[in-house]
Amino acid sequence: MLSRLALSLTLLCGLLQAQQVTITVSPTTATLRVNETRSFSATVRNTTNTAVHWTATAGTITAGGQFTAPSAIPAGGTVTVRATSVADQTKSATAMVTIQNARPTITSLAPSAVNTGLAYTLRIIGTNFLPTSTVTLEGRPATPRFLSSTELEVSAVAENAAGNSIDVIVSNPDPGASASNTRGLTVNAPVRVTISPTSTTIRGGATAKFNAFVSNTSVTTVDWFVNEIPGGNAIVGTVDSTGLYTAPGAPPSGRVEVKAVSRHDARGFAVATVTLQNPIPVLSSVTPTSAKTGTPAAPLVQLSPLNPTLSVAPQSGNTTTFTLTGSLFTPTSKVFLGALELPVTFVNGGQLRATAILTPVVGQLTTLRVVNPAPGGGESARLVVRVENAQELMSYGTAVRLLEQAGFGADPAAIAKVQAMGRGAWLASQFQAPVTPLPDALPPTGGGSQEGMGRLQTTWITNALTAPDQLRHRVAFALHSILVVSALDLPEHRQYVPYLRILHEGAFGNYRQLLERITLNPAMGRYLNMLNNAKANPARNTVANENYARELMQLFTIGLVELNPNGTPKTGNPASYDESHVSELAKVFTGWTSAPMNGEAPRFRAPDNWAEPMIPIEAEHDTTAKAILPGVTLPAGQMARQDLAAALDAIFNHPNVGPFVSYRLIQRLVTSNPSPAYVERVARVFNSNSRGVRGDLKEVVEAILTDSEAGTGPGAYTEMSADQGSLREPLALTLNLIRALDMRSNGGLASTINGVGQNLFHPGSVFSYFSPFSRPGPEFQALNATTAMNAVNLIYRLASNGLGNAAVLDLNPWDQLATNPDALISAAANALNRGLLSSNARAIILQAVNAQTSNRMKAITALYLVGSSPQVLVKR
Amino acid sequence: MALSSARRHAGLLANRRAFLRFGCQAVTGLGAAGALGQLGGINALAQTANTGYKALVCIFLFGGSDANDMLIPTDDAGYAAYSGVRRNIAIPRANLLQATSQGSSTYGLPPSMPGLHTLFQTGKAAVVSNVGMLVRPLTRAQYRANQQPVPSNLFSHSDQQQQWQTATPVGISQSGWAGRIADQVLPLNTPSLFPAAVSVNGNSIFLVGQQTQPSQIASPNINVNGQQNRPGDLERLNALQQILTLSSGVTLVQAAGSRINDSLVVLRQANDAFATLPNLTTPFPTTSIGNQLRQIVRLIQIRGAVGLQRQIFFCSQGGYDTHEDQPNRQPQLLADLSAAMLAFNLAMDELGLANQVTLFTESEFSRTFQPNASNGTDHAWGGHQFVTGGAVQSGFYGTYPSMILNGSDDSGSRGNWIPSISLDQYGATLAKWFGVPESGLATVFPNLANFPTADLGFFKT
Repeated sequence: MLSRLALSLTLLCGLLQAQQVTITVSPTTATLRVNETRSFSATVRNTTNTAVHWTATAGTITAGGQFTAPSAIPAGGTVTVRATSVADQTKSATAMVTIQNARPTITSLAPSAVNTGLAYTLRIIGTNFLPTSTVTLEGRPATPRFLSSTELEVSAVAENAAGNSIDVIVSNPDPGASASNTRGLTVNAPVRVTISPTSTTIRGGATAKFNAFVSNTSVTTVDWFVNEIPGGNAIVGTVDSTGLYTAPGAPPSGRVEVKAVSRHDARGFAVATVTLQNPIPVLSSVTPTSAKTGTPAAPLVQLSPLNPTLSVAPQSGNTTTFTLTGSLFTPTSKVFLGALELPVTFVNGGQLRATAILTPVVGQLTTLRVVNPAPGGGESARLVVRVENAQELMSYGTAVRLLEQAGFGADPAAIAKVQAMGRGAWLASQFQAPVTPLPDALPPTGGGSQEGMGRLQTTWITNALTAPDQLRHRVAFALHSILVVSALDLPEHRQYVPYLRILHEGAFGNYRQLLERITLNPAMGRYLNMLNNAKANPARNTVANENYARELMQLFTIGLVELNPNGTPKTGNPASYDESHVSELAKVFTGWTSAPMNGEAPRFRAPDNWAEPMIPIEAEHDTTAKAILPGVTLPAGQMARQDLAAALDAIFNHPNVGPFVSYRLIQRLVTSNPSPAYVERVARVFNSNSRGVRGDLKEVVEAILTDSEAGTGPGAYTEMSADQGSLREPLALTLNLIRALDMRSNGGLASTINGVGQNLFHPGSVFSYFSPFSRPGPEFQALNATTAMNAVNLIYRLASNGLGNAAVLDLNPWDQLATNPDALISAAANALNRGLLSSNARAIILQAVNAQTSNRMKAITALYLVGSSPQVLVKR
Repeated sequence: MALSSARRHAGLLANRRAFLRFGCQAVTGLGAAGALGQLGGINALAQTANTGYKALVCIFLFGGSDANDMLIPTDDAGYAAYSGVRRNIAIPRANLLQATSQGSSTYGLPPSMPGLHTLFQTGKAAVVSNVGMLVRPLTRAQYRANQQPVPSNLFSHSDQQQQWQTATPVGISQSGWAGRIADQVLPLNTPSLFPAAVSVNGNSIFLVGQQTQPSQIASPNINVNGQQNRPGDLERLNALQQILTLSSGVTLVQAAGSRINDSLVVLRQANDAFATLPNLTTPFPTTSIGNQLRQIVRLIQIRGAVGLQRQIFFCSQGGYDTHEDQPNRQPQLLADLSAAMLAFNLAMDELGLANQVTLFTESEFSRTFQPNASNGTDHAWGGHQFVTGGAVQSGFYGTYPSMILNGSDDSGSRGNWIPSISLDQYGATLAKWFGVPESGLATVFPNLANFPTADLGFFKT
């Protein structure tokens, strides 16, 4: 039945073909949003060809009727979709399509979070935005700026509290008004900034790096301020965008604040405190590098390493101005020359001027440095400056030589003084200098023993180091080394000091008077047995003691062999006298005893009286005739004093005495092996001074020290010839070094000096500390393995402050020089050896200095090695 | 000694000097010495009977010790002669310690010398009487008529000290007789670099030889300051030694530098050796002379460590110039001397070296037999010297002076005895025992041939 129906419909159509073609479109109306699609269908009747051709007034349509709305609403708001019959192109049908706005969507927000209370601009990213799109933020309309169909921008203030998000909705208007999805904008707490470190302390010119940490926002940029000044400035210091703070060179006192502010949220900031300290100054150059001391003002006072109030040299004129160049100088910068602070003018952070009248320095080299005070502060590097004496009538080296020959060494102030005065004036002042008194013995304590020699040694050493009468001390000690009384046999202060006083008082007097005072000194009397020396006593089978007679002639005046005027033995070594003369002379020295005390009557073998000269007891004096020297016979019957005077006159006038004494004094003061011509020149003065007087020690000493072989003349420093000079005796070595280094001393050096081979005032015998004939020089007699080691060790101890208060060295200036080993060694050589140092020795010392690991050990090493070098051990 | 041998020794000496100059390798050097020890055996001297160790020790009594009170006649006639001159400074006869005799004459020591007395009693001490400086044998008549050469500057301390040490009675010598002895036995000590001649108290020309350079080592603990094993310490020490040996061309500078450097080298060697010494049980008096002889014992103890077969030592005691108060002064000195001499001999017993070490005295002169007005005595001439040790044939040697003022033995009027034995003979006897060949004695003592015998016989044969 169904097939019959189909057949009948087919038939029906055929029947209708003859009718007009008709066309319909379905649907006939539609509403679409832009870009939406819809399918249309067309129905064609009365023809077999039902194909249609689709067109649209906007948008696109496929051959199959698939319509896509245009992307924008066309004029009039509608689009006509038309289907035209292919079979009959006059037949068509249309549909009316109304076009509406698209629905917006939000895909993201930028930023995704805002800070509460903070105005913000939000970029809304999504689709289908229209210039007419509207936005609501948490329900409140906001006016967006249309950027594109995918981007809107809207500004607002985040009023929501932190933790509540803001709902963001975009709406498109009619036709087809629609709203987007809702997107939540996170609301955070206000921006927070922290800084690290929160406080720091730096010196001027230094930098400090600060780091800022920004939270509650993704915008981490901060801006930096110093004391609220963006980026800071030259006064308060600067800070760059990375938080690197650079302190000003000359900082204001106290603190500055470095601040990091969130650029996103100015409410977010943090402050660090910077405590500014003074910078470490940088000293790069100084002019001049060599300067002169001030001019010593008259009258010149003796300068003392022991008494600093005296050692402030009176200086005037000759001002030196140093210009110091560098950086990080401050108005409070100080300038030091060695230990001396100089008045300073602050020019700017790169320049200072320091002005002073300079005083002499040890070793002529010192350091100039800039010191910035606390807080912070510090020292610059040290630049070496040479300080030379302003007035130089003598060369530096010659002045040192003279001070070593005519005193116990050369400290800087003494050198300046000698250079300023010149040899003649200085010697004249020395001859006039009053005798520095020696103390009386202290009363015996407790057990009744007498005071020993220790204090006298200490006092004498102190005087030798510091007393104004340097030359007198030197000559007195030389005379002591010739006219020997040893404390080995006279161990008490009260016994010894009157003897020493005679030498000091008589140092520039007449040798004849000195001989008499020494002869009658009770210590000498005890030592060489003239005290209580009785005349021969046949009943007891005794004769006069020969000791003093022998040594007076052999060691104090004439010697065993007749001498030429130049001190050399006469041909054939003829004896000056024989044993019989000794025995006969011994008789002269009989009858002498201690002077009476406490009003007692004089008597032979009286109680010891060390303070007064011996007196004669005529009954004990041998009154026989005495053939005391070849050709000299004292008549019988003379009183003791007559015999004494006649004998001393005869001995004093022996032609040997001039060359004999001159030779020994030259050895003690200048050189071990003087030329015969030198001896003769001095002996001639001994024999007859400028007024025709024999035995004037003052002129003899002057002749010795001003002889061409002494090398103390004006002009440039000259070396002594290679065979001249003398090994420094232990006393002189020790005192020379202490003075050269301007050390302080309590004088307690006797045991140290003894270890080096010289027991002060305790020579082993009447032959003194050394034989004048010992070769290669007298002082070598005391130099052996033990004393040599002790000498080297003495120098180490001096250099390293190993002798306690007996020798205190200020090593600070040497430490400062140690950063410049060459200058360090030069200064040591200047101080200890007149600047002389062979290039070989310098190289060796430099190597050893460089091997030290501290400035202190470098300083000690330089002083030790320069001081131990044989050139220094020998005085030349 | 053959010439070639001498030359070889000179070469070794040169090496020795070089070593001393650059002696930082002291320990290494000693090691080398040990390794080369065989070298010492190839010379003729070492192949004679001179095997084994020997040492000579001189005690010098400075000031001129009065020998008249060191050996006193105890027989009736002798004591009468003594006390007749000495009178109120004479030592009472009852106090004398009988020590030795010659024929019918007997002699005692002063009561201050019990230690030396013990050595006489145990057969370890001899005395050589009236020995002194002479050029050739001399009589009073010759002396007073100036018919014979005599030593220069008799009665002068310094000259006579020099002469006793140099065996050079006229003129100046640059060497001492002990130094020359050391030269003679140098082959026995080769190749040791340590000084064979050592003083423990001051410099002395006695020990200076032509080749022998003596040293002075006064105590066992002398070290360079500043050496604490810190960085730079060794460099400083090396620099010191380099500076000391730099050539300057300046006489005294050169002399000072080399002497100090030699000293440092020797002391370093000695200190290393001292550090390992065993204790000595023999007690020593803590007097100066006691301490000196104790130090010599140490130096003998290190003989093996420093490689020496022969050593010569010098020590001294001062204060003998007793012009005054001799009865109080001299006994104290002699007591110290005697006690120290005994201790030293006991120490040699302890070390088993009694027969190998001889201790002897010297003094520049004796003193006037006649006292002076100060209860003292003055400078004189010949005196008595003591020799002690296990090798010594105990007894009296020589001739005691006649004790007559203005007598045949008196050079003057006060008992200035003209020596009957010369220092040369005294020294040559010691030298021969020590190993100096007969042919070398004249080099050591140039005037020896002037005297009848070179061997006084005070050693056991």
